Amino acid sequence: MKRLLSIFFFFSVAIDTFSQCTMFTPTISLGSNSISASPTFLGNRIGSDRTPELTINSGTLTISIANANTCSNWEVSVVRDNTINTDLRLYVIRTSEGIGAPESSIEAASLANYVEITTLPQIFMRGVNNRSSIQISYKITGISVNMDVSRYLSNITFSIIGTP
Amino acid sequence: MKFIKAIVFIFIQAACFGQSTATVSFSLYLADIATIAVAPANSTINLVGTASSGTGNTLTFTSNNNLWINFTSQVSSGNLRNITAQITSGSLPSGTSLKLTITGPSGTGAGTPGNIVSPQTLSNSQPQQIIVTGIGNAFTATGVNNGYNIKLELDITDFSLLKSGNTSISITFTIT
Repeated sequence: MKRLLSIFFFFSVAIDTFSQCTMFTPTISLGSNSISASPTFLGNRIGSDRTPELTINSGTLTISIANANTCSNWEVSVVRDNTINTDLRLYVIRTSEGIGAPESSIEAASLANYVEITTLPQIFMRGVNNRSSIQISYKITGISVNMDVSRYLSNITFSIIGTP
Repeated sequence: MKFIKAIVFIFIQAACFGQSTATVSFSLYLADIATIAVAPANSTINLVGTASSGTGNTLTFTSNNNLWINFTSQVSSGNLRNITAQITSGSLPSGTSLKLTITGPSGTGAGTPGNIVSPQTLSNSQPQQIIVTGIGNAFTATGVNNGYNIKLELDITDFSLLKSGNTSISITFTIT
């Protein structure tokens, strides 16, 4: 009986300690849920291949992190499905630190480095507490006239997880 | 009891470090491309007839193979393109026809550049003549020595109709 009571006490303390955490899970939202690109072929490139690389920048390409006040450390990973043409390679980069409370932060290392979006989750950025309007941009490589005329699609999923 | 501890620990971990996701749909549309150019640009070719020395000898014209066709083609799966040639302004001198001999492709292009239909003869009021067929997704690279070479020769079809003088014509190459 004493052992049971002591275990109950332990659980109570543990749950109380993490009670703020248990109520919140960090959440991630995107400024835009669709990205569409249709590169033009300029007349001065007659005889040439398409420009192989395309960068997509837009004010609406943002990530916001919420509910991270308690479980303050978080980590965002990115992954894509396997529907897109294998010649195309997708990348994402964080181009701003976003907006957050003074105690919030975002890992500097994820600036200036493109992360390739593959079918395996890749760590994209880490931070502490809530951040909003974190600007991102995408890059596509491998574009060529040797690909058929078509619309190439993929779903890109960002996941956030609270970390110790 | 260790089992219970483990369950509670997992519960706490899951609640505290839960996962949230957001998905963006990505779309890249590559439209079809059909562009063609002749290199060097805006070229004027002179084919000059010269009488061979000696009475009774025929007239011979110079030929020219300085022109190159550059193109970029991007098609839907299963579709192919052709390149055609046609006299679109002026008229050949009476008693002559123009022979186009296509060779290549040469240079640093890639893809499915098609197959030559050559030689072809152009004459006045003639519809477009196919000179390359079966072009898929391809590019030739740009400038001279890339793509298909064009050799132009003026043939005499009826000597009795020849007259001295200068004649200008324009040939239009089209990729469709």
